Amino acid sequence: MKAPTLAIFGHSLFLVEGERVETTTVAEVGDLAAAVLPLVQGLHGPVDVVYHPADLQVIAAECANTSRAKLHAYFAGEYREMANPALLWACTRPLPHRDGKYATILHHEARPRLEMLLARLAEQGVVVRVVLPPAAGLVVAGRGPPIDLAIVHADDCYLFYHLNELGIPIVRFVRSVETLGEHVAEALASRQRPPAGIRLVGQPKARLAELLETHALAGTWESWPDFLRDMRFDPRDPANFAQRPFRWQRRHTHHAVAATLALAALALAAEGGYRHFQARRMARDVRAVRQQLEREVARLEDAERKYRAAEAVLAAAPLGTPRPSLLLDAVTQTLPAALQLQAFRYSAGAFSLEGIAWEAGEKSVVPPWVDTLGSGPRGWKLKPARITGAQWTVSGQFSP
Amino acid sequence: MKQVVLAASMLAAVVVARVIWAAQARPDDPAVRQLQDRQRALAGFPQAQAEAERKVAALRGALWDGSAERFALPAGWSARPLPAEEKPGVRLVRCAFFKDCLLRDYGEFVRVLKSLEEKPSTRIESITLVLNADGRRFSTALITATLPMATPAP
Repeated sequence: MKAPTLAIFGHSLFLVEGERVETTTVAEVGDLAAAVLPLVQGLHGPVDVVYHPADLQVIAAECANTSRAKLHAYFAGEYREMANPALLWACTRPLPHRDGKYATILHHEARPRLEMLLARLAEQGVVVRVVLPPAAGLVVAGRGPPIDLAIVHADDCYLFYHLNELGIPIVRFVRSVETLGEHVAEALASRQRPPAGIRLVGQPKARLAELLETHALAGTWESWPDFLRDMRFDPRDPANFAQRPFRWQRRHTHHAVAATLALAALALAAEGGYRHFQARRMARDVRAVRQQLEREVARLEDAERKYRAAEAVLAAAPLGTPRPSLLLDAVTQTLPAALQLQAFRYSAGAFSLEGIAWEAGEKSVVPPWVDTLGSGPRGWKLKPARITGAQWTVSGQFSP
Repeated sequence: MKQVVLAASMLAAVVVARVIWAAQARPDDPAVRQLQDRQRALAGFPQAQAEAERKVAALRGALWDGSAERFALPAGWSARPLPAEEKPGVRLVRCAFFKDCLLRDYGEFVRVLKSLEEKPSTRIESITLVLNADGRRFSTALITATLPMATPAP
């Protein structure tokens, strides 16, 4: 289904949405957006616009058959307004002359209006898809027979279009029937044969009918709604004013801020999720390590308990205590016949041997005997003997 | 503008959620550190336990069994039990062994002493062997010994 079409031609505004047609006008110096907004109120979805206010500059010019960007570069040198990004421009698709050259109809704003109008419409939720000048509806290649002469008219504004027999276009936007008549006369004078394809758009006026009759031009007047319904809106058409270089706008800032915040939120959420995952894995690892350590420590504590118990048993009954019988055996084997053992006392590792010498003169055998008893790898140590008369005493200590 | 408010709300919600559900786990868990310290402190015990149990096994072979309380003494010898002491896995039975001995019984005295020392765990507490003035009889022939008896392990 065709999108609603809004036409701004001179001071006249037309809105065609299906069968619904609304018309209004805007004052010469009035606010264009203020007049347009009530008209488009309630519209949903994209809108196509035909745009040719009274102050739009329109020029038919020779050009190369090339892209819109190159056409802009070509014409911006001659028409300085086109270098201003705030002023929108458009040119119809280049069409060939019969001599092999190409021509286009160039439009550019003299003051910035369309950009602001589009912004105001966007704020109201109206998305403008394509903005074409009405001349784009006249210069359409490959759609039926070519139009040699056309007049588009609304109120006191007239768009005159003529294609001479070589295929070279001229286009004028005028404000009076007299001026229009001069251009028509001039165009017809340049021809050898009368124009075949004639297109007339608007409401016929008496003076306009006289003009056509004077120049023997016959044609059927086409209403604005029919003209708009017949137009084809292609976003890639070089005549599309809305195909403008990118300019940073406030909404772009909003989008950028929102995207940055959303990305930051996503990054934080992702990082937080990852940290949570890491923390849970770490907690699981720590728990596993702790359980393993608890088992190991329990095993070691059991070993400690058993060690303490064994130590207690060993401490209660130590091995390797002194063997006094060895000492008595040694005494029995080494005691000289001149000596008699009379007492042996042992207590807690210490011992004493007491005896007598049969004769006083033989007491000198005691020290050598003590030396013999204490020599070699014995388990005891002896102190020097004490000899009192015939009595002798030897004391000692078992080695630990 | 609405999308900025929405994105800012998202960000705020994420920040709040992160504060509320902050990750708590840390690699240096205090309980783990405490267990590791304890593990290091106890690390030597398995070896020490094995060594001690080997010694205990050797000791158990050297302990008197229950029948040793009725120690087989030669005729004329007396054994008087002294207060025993209970230790973990060991009962320390103390006894005084004595006889009214003649000089010729010296060899028997030494044999009794050696038979007591037969078990390496025996601890001879004291020996008193004193000859009378006549030189034929001992006024005292007394051996006090502790005989460790095996009891069930604790």
